[in-house]
Amino acid sequence: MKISYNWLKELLDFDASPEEVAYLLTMSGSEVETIENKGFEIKGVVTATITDIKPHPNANKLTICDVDTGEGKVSVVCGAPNLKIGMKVFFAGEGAVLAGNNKLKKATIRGVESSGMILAEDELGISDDHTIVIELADGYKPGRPIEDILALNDYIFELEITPNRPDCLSHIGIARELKALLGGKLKFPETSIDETGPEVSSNLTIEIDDPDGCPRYTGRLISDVKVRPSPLWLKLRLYYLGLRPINNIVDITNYVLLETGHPLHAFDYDYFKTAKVQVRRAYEGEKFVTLDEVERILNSKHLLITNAEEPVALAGIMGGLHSEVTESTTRVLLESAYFDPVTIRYGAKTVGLSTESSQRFERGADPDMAPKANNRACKLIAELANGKVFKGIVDAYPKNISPVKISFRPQIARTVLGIDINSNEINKIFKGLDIEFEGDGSLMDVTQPSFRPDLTREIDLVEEIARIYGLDKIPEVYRAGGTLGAEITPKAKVIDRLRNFLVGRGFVEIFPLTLVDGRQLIKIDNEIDFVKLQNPISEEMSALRPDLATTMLKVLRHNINHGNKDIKLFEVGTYYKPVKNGLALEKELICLAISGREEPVSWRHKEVFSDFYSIKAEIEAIFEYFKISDFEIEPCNSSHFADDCSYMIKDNDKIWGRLGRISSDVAKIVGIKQESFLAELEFDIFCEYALRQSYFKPLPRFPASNRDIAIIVDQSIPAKEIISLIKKVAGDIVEDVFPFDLYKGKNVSEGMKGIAFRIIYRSKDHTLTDDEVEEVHGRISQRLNKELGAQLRSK
Amino acid sequence: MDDILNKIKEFESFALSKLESVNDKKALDAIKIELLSRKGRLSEFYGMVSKVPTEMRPKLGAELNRIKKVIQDKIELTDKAFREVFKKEFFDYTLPVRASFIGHKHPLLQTVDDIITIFHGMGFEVAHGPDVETDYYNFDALNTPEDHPSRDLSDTFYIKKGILLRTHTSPVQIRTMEKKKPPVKIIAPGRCYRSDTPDASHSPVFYQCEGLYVDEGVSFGDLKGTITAFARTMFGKNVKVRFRPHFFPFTEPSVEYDFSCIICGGKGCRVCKYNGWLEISGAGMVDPEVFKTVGYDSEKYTGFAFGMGVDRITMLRYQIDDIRLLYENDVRFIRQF
Ligand SMILES: [Zn+2]
Repeated sequence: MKISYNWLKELLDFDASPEEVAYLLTMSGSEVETIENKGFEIKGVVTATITDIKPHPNANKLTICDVDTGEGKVSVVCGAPNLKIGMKVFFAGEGAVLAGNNKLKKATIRGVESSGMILAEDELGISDDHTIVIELADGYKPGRPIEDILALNDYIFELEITPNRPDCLSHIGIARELKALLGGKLKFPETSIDETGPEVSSNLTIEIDDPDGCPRYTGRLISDVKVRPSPLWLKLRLYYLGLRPINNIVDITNYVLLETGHPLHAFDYDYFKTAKVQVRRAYEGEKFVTLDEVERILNSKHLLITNAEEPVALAGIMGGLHSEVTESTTRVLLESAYFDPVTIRYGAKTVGLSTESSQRFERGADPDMAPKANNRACKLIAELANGKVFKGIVDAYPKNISPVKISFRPQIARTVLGIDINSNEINKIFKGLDIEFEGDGSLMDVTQPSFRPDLTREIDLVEEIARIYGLDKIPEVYRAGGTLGAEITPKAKVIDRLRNFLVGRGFVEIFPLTLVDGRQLIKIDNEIDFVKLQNPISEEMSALRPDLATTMLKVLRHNINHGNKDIKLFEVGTYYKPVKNGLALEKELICLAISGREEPVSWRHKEVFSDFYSIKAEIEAIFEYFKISDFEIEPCNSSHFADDCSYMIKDNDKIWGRLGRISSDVAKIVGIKQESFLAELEFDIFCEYALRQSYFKPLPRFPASNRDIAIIVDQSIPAKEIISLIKKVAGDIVEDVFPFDLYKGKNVSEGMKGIAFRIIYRSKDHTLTDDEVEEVHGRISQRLNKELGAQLRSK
Repeated sequence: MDDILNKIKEFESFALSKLESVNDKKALDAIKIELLSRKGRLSEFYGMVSKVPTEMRPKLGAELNRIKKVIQDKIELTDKAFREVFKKEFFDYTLPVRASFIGHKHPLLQTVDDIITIFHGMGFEVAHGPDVETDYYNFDALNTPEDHPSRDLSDTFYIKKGILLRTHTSPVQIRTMEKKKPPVKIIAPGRCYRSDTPDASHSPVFYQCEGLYVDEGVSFGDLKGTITAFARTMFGKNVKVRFRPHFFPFTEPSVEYDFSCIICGGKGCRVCKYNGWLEISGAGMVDPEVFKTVGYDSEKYTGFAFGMGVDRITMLRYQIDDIRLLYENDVRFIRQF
C-alpha cells in the first residue's frame, strides 16, 4: 500500500517528519518498507504562453513555437499535436531539471536551435502520458514557478499492511493510526453535495436478492457529466500512488478508494436498460466479460450486479466491459456497497483476479463508509465533471451489520503485557483509535468500530493497547532458567555422540533437501513406495525421500562433479514412507558414503582407494564405539547396490540396515562417475542398543600371551567360521582373535587362501604357562585341519 | 670335517667384520647378496653338508643355521641403524603430514545445536512433530480456518486432501499442548516446506525453530526477555532486539522481531539494507482461541510462542549470501565451518 505524506497532512495536523512518521507506523504495526522522494528533482519549470507557431523548415511534423517565459521570448522546437497560439503551458529552459533527473541543455533539432521545452505530463512525472503537452487554464501569467500551481514534492511510503487491517489500506486509516500515536483530530473530507438533479428514488431502485453476499448497497445518480482528463493535482496524486490516470470519473472513484479505503464503481448509466439494479448470484455457467476483456465463466457462488438480467459487474471485484464509463458517458450510476468478505474472496480466487477493490472487500470493508464514500465521490464528480447530482441516495441495507460489544477488563492488558498501565492511558489509546467505550476502572463496554473487523475480542483490544503504548516500553522479564531440569532425551544424546564420533573419523555431515525426484526413484526401483506431492514445483522435487541413499547419492554426484573426489559423508536424518490411513511413517536413518581415496594424498602412506572394507570398517568402528556386538553381515538384494557387493546388517530377528557398493546401473541413473560405497542403519534399532548402559568391568590382572596361526584353507570358507571355531576350541582363555594377514600366490594353490590370525590368550585367575597355551594352540590347529581342512603353514 | 668347521668359523668372522665396516645401505644390500643369496657364500657351505659323513651332517647343519641367524640378525641391526639415520636426516618438523580427512558438522545443524543449547539453559525442552501434517494441526487448530485470508500467505504442498507438508513448526505447539498440561516450555526445531521456487533467499524446504512457553503469569515481558537473552547469547552482548506489531492468526498480540545488525552493529550495511536491523521472525502471545482448541483455560494460563528461521540465523552468523549453498552440501562449503 502506498501512502502520500502530503495527503496525510491534509487529514491530520502534525509536525512529524516523513522519517518520524515511517518509524511510528513501523513500530505500531504498519511497516514502512521504503520512503520515496517524489518530484524533488524538478527545477526551473515555469508557466509560459505560446505567442507564435511557425512550421519547421526541415520537418513537417515539428513546429517552431515562440514562447513568452515571463523573462523574455525564446523559440522552442516542438512536435505536440495540441499546440495553439495563446496557449498556457509549462516551460523548461536551459538548465532546468525534469523527472528522472533529466537536465536540459540547449539543443538543435533538425537544424533549428531550441532553447527549451514545452512540457508533457511524463516529463514532470505527473503521468506516463507523452501524447500532448500540458494545457493550463487561461489566466496564468508567464513566468510563475510550477511549485505555485502544483505540489510536486511529496514523500511516498510503501507500507506492508497485514491482512487483518483493511482500514489501513487508506489514507484516512493511516491518518487515524497517526492520530492515536501523535494526538490531534481527523479532518474527514467534505461530503456535502449541491444536489441539482431530480429525485434519485424515481430513477433508481436497488434489489438485493442475496443479503448475505451483499448486506448493503448504495447508489447515486449523476447526469450531465463531462468525462475528460482529470486535473493535474488529481493525476499527480494517483500517479504517485501507483495508479494510472484514466478519466475524471474513474480517477475520482480511485481517489476516494485511496482516501477512504472504500471501493466504488462507476457505471455508464446510459447503458442501463431499466432503472433497477439487481444483486444476485450468478447462474451455473453464466458468462460475463469483465472490463479487462476476458470472458469469465461463473458459478452460483459468484455474486453479480445486474441490470435487466444482464450482468454489469462481478460484485466487488471488477466491472463489465460494456457498462464502463467512457468519454461519451453522460449519466453515471455510482455504486458504493458492502460485500461479504468470504464471497468476494472466493470470487476473486476462482476467477484469478486480485483488484484494489477485491483486496479490500475480502479483508472486510467498512459498512458505514458505503454511503459516506458515495457522497464524497459525488461531490468530486459535481466539482470536476460538472455533473448534476440527483437528490438523495438509494441505500439498500437488508442485513444490518452490527458492531460487536466487547467487555474489556483493563487488568487483562496488564497481565498479558506485563505492564502497569492505568485507565487514563487506556482511555486515551481507545479515543485515539476512535474506539467507543463506556465505563472505566475494572470493566469497560467497548463497541467495535465499523472500520475494524479485526476487533471482536478482549485480547484484540489488548493488542491495540500494546501497539499504541509501544512495545519498546514493555520491560523485559528475565527468569532463572533450567531449574525444572529440562530434559535432554536419550535419543538426542545418542545422535550427538554419533555425530561427534563420525566427524572425528573424518566424515563431513550433509543436510540435503528432503524433496527428491519421483521419476528417479521409480527408475531405480519400480516397486518403491514413496510419499508423492500433489502439487510439486517440479518433477525434481516431487517426492519425499523414502531413504537417505537417494539424497546422499545426489550430494555425492555434486561433489564428485565439482572435483571433490575423495570423500566421506554422513547424515542422520528422516525418511518418509506412505501409510494407508494416516500421515506418513517418519523415521531416522544413519547414512554413510565413501568414495575416492581412503586417506588424503600424503607422503606418509600409500595411496589406497576405498573399497567395501572401507565402509565396513566404519560400521565396525561405530559398533565398537557404542559397544554393540550383536550384529551380523549377510548378503542380500538391495536396489542401490551391485549384486556382488550388497549386504544387510542384522541380528537374530531385526534388519538394521545395509551396506554395499553402488551398482553401475544406479550410478548411471544418478550420474556418479566413481566407485562409491554406502551404508544405511535404522536409527531406532541402533539407538536401542547404543543406549544399553555400560558397567565397569575389572581390568585384567594377569598377562596375556599372544600366538599366531597361519593356515591355508579353501577360498569359500568365511573368516567368521574360522574365528568361531577358534573361539569354541579355546574356550574362556581366548580374549580376542583377529586376522592380521591375508595372502595368495606362492605356496597357496588355486582355490585356496592363506590367512593368519593372532590369538590373544588370557586367563582371569592366573598367568598362563607356555605349556597351557601350546596345548590349546595345538588343539586349535588340529581342529582347524579336521573340521575346515586347513593346512598349517609354518612360518 | 674340522677343516670345514674351521672354514665356517673363518667365514663367520669375515662376514661379521665386513658387516661392521659397511657404511651405506647400498653396500649392505650388496653384502647381503654376497653372503646369503642362493649363490652366496653361505649356500656354498650348505652344499657341503651332503659331502660329509652322515653322522656329522646334523652338527654341520646346526652350525650353519646358527651362523645364518647371526648374520641375518647383524644385517637386520645394521639396516635398522641405517633407517634411523635416514629418518634423522630427513626429519623436518615443517613437513605437512595430512594423515587423515577432517570431518565437519553441517553449519545449519551447528546452529541448531547452539540454539538448543541456549534454550535448554533457559529451561526449554526439545519437542518434535512430523513433517507430513494434517491441515488441522497446520492451520485449523492454529486459528486459521479454510477461508482465512492468511492461508494465502503460505503456499502449501499437499500430499492428499487434508494432508500436507507443514508450512511452519507451529503444529508442534498444538501437539505438545494436547499431550501435556502447563507448564509447557518447549522449542521445536525442524524442516518446513513452502512451494517457493528456489533462489538466493528462498528454498522450498527450510528450517525453523518454534518456541512455546505457557504457564500462569507468562507475559509479553517474558517473550521480550527470552528473545533478548537468546539474541545476546547467540550473537553477543551488544545485540539489541526490536519488536514490531504484526499479525498471525495464532498469536495476539502478534509481533515481528528484529536484531540490530550483527554485521555493522546497527550503523547500516548491505546485509541490513542500510537500516541497521535484521528481520528475524514472528512471535506473540498465544491466542485464546488456540488455548480453547487444546483445552487450556485461557483465564488461568497465558503464554508466548515464537518462531525463528534457522537458515536465516545460520546465514547471518556465517555471512552466507545464498540459501541454496546450505542445501547443496558441497564439502568445500561445509568444511569452512
Ligand atoms: Zn548492517
